[in-house]
Amino acid sequence: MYNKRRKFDPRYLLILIIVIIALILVVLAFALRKDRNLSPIEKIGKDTSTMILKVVGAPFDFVKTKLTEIKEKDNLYKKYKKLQNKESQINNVISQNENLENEVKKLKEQLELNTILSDKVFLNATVVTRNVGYWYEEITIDKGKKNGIEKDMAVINSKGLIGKITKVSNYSSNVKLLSNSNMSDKISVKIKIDDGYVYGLISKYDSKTNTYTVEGISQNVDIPKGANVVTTGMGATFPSGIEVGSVNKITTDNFDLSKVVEVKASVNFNDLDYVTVLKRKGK
Amino acid sequence: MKTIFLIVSFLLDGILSRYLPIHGLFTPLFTLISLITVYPLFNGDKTSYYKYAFVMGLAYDLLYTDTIIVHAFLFLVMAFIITKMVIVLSDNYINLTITSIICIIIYRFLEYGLLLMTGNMVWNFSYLLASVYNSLILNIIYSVLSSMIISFISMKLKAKRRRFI
Repeated sequence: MYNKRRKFDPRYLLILIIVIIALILVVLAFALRKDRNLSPIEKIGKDTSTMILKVVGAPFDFVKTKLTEIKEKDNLYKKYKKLQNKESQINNVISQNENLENEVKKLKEQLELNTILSDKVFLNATVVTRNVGYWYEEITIDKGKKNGIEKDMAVINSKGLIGKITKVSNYSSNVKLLSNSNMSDKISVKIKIDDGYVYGLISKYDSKTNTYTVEGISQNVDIPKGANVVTTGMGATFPSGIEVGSVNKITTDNFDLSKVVEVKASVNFNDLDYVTVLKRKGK
Repeated sequence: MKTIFLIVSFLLDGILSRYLPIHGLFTPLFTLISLITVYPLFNGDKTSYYKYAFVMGLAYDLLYTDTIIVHAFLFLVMAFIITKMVIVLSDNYINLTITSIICIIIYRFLEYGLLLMTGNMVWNFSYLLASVYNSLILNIIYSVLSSMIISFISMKLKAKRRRFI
């Protein structure tokens, strides 16, 4: 009678399973937090592995560079002719640029401004890995805290804006791309029209067409197709004047109250090898 | 050999992702595939296999996604599923392909589900579907090729051992 074992109630088992699942979800939710800072162990691990990956990837990079060189050799003459035409205009543009820079400097002195929205410092970096997790839309670059990189800095390539720094370790950092369909930060942009600019917010990105959707534009404004779209510099992350794309299609929202502009991204997110991190001056 | 093979697949995952389009038809999942093809080398030692899967997941988290234990957990679940599937399916290339397809589908759905539940993704079924079919072609080819390489090396090693005996 005393040796009789107590039966395990199946209800307890169910509760136990629910508790375990809930715990796992809580831990995973913490692990997936966007604003999470890397722990010192993670930083060391990430730096080491980034270096290994860079060394292992070097032969592949070499082959890719050689193949690109061979491809480009075919178009060399065409490019030369194109550049020859542009060369005549370059001196003119340089002198105009110098003149404008002087004017900006003088105006800043007069107004006692330390920085303006377009002031930035450039830091070049190489892409080490790219979007391995499929959903994360991130790239890893070979520059980190020791090189002056900080969280939330804007990242561009030769074509335009590509994203922002989300995680930083000592010698590498992660860049969240604008192609992220769950892009939480609405980016303020301006579109060039005849007599100035019209302002809007990027709300989403479509990977199939490589286009952004810009919302919040007044119905009364005429926007030409092909107009340039650049950042406004409003908000804490992106300096002003960085190219985002060009206007592709203009429609109206469901209530006919405002315009919705489809912007063709200037950047090809499939081809990111070298990037530049922008640091706002005075930040 | 299994360790070398897992490390090579893991590194290939990162290197190839640099040269292939982000959402193109050839998305590598070589670390997961290597877990399938490498299982016969463990000779039924499940504990050791789960340990390997967990460590590979941790490394994946650390280097590629910065998510501490998400992939360690996912790879562990996948390793459990692989061990169960191997019991049901016999050892040939068609079954290997079927196992790879099922594993890719389960892995994508699990990962997407986790991201959805933790508020990191918005529900988009076509995006989820695209992630599955974008991962199929390259990974099936890799699974068949890697299985061929593993069986070839295993045969060579066995023959060498026999010669020594």
